[in-house]
Amino acid sequence: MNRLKIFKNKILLLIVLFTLLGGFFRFYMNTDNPPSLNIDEISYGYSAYSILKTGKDENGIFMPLVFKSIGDYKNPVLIYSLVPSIAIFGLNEFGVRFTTALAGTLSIPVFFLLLRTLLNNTRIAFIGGILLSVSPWHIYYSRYASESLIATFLLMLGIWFFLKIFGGEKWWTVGASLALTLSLYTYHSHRLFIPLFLIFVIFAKIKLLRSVKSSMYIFIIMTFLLIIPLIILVIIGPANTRAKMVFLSLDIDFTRYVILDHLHKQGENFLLLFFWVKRYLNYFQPDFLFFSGLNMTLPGSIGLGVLFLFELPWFVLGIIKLIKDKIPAKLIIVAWTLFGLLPASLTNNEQSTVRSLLVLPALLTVTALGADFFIHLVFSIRNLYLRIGTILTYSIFIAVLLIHAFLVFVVHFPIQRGEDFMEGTKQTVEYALSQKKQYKEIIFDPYRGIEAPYIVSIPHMYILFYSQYDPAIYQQEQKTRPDGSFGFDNFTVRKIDWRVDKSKENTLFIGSPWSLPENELREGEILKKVYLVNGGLAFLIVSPK
Amino acid sequence: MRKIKQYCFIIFLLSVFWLLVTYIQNVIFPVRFLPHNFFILELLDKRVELLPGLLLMMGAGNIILLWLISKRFFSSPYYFLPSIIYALSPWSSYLIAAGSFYIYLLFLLLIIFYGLILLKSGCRFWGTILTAVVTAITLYSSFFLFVILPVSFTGIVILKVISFKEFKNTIILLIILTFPLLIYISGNYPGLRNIFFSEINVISDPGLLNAVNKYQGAARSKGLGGLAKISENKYIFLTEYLFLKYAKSFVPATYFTPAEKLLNFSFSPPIYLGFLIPFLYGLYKFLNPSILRKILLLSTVLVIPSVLAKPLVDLNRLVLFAPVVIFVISYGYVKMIEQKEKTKFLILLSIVIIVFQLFVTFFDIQARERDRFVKYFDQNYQIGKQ
Repeated sequence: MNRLKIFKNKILLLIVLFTLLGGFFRFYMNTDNPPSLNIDEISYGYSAYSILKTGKDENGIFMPLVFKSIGDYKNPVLIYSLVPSIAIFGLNEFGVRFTTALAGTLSIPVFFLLLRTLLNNTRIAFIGGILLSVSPWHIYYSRYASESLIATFLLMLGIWFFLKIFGGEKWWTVGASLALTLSLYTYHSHRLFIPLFLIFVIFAKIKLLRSVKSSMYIFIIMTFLLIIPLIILVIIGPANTRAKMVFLSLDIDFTRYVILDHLHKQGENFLLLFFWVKRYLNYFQPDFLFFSGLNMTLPGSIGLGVLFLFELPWFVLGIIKLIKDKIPAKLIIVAWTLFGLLPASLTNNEQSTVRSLLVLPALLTVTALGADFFIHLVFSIRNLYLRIGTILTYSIFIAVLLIHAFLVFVVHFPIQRGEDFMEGTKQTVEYALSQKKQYKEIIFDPYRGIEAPYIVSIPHMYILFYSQYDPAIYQQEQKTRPDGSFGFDNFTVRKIDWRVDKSKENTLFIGSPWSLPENELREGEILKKVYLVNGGLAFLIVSPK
Repeated sequence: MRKIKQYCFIIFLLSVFWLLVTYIQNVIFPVRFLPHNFFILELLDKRVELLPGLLLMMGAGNIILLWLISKRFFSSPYYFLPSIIYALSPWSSYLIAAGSFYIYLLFLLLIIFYGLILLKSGCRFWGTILTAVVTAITLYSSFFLFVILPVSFTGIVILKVISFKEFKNTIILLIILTFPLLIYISGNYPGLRNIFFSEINVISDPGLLNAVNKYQGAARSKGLGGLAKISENKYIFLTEYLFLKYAKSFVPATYFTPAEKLLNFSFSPPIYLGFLIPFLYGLYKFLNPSILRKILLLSTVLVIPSVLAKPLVDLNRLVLFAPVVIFVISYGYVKMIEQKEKTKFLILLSIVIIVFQLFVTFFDIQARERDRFVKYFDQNYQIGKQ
């Protein structure tokens, strides 16, 4: 009895330690890496700030369930969860990223508890907890405001509560219903996955359900009542706008190279079906899983997979264990993986790590099963030298890959992906704000990009965010100018045409070298140049003379 | 009577295959690979091209060989399964239509495998002659197989698939037959070196070295150059890359979807998606009997030519591994049929998907395949080196 208590205390202590370690990976310098707030984070932040100050979003709608935001109709949970964080830490990078980093950190003990309930094995649950604490996929999405990560945290929590219902404790029902419903409200992928998964689990465990019939009725009724607004919004409201925007049939690879820009209309839907299968199976490709799926580096270069390469043997062993052994939750793990990839595969990305993040717990469960088996295999090697040699070799292998992961996070990611996070916009906005009173008008060009001006940014949100512009004033202001351009205060957001604009006096222009060609600018007109970490010239700040 | 029925069915299958190849050839003509030379002729600095008609015959020969081989593994009427899968799948049809050298190599490999089966089943004389002679022809034909086949034979003996005693005569005869080649190679090192670099394009890719320099430079600028030297050097990157290529040769998406494009442009899958169901089931069942597991393990060397090619997966070179996939599918079907009640739905689903995709693919080939090629490669009808 005493031994069991000591073992439990040790495990508890270790889980706390790994949670702290995981917290360190998620919080440490998360305001500087990713190098800047991306357009979604800026929008989340200012919408939450607007709610905090006025109870309305920046478009003047009171406590919305869907945020129109910049026309992409954002989900509500992340934005509302940012309100207390922004109230405490202010409207800044940390305030925006705090909630996700916290959810990411708390996911570690929750995943441990979930696995312990699911597999009834503390050791494997502990291995799973460690794997999640160092998971590059999870760390990456924990370091910036991510709906998908919060939804996955709620999903793990909800499923843990749900499995606890089978233990006969009714109070878990309320928790399960709340967490899973919140997860549905948080991210699109979960809206397809959770219903499918729950229906499957209910059918798979129908015999067990009979003993907890009343709890299950409460769960179903409560969940149904809670999701009624969401159903209405999806069917008749704007909540399905995003789904329509990213549906598979709009995929550029499909439209351009498969149906050849609708060369023949016949049979397109059949081809779409096989194209979808291709996309679905692509999530099982080794390059996505172990080499470069995380997209932290440029396409074609060696980066990081969603799992570490040293986890590959464990993953394979885990699959073998899953097939051969009598694992209690075998069907749940398989269903989680297979259903979990459905939403991501139906969208127009080759492989979307953000939309498929919800399968991470299932993949890590398989990996943890395999890691446990691997440890057992290694320690059953009778020859001492061979055993030590194997451990040493594998440890070196792990160390080399962890060093590579560290370099990707610290060095290569900010250099190669800074532009995706709108690097440089903050500096330009801060400069513009410092010079605001000296100019009649400040014009921002939304098009940017080092290779070509293909990135459409939302500079007005960055201005609102970094100036902490009063949301009450912004909601009231007329934002469309007589010439059709968009603006507020003395800021205007429109495309710069330097041949015409160079004659404008008392105006500050901010744009990329594509709209403000350096060779056409006169001496003294360039007030500031803003560079990316990789040395690329991102912006020129110019005032015509 | 039974034999006549079998022959009739094989003739029917060959006719279907011939029609399929002709159909594809008509649609995609004049899309062609650049001709591939024979290993020995490359060393002698001479060129010979395989005639398209000969390739078509070899493709048909592969159907017959698959039938003969599977007769040794499966009972009646299941031994037709591998030939049916091969004949209906677009993989070899496309490659024959484009003049792939690897169809010829596949033909030789299947004869060698049949020879080994004869050896194993006690038919030593014909087994020895067939294996040794055809292996010798193969070694004279391809640099890759010049390396892979001796490794495979060693594996066969080490894993005791065939005992050394049974194999001894074949090895002696093979050494005698390949002696002239070995003598010629030993005196023509520069020629061999040229062939090595032209066949193994993966190491001549400058992208890898550029990536290493870029990564190490970036790390050095942050004061982390030492760490980059440990984990981001060319040896580690090359090993990781080769491992990735190797792993990609074993994922279902490569074989059952157009994830890797046939002839670098097609949307037809190498093997129809419906076959994925018996493939997974077969793989699951394959893992149990140790002899099958050993054969499966040994057969993985056949993906090496694709691993050493420039693209991540080279379906042209990977066709050498196709019979392994086809046999796993057939094995899966046989095992599923044995458990009829439990797997009835899966068999039905598999057949429905195959028939459906067959129609969709045929229509797509007719309607779009040629335009698709032009979209990818413009009016240049050369696919490139093999």
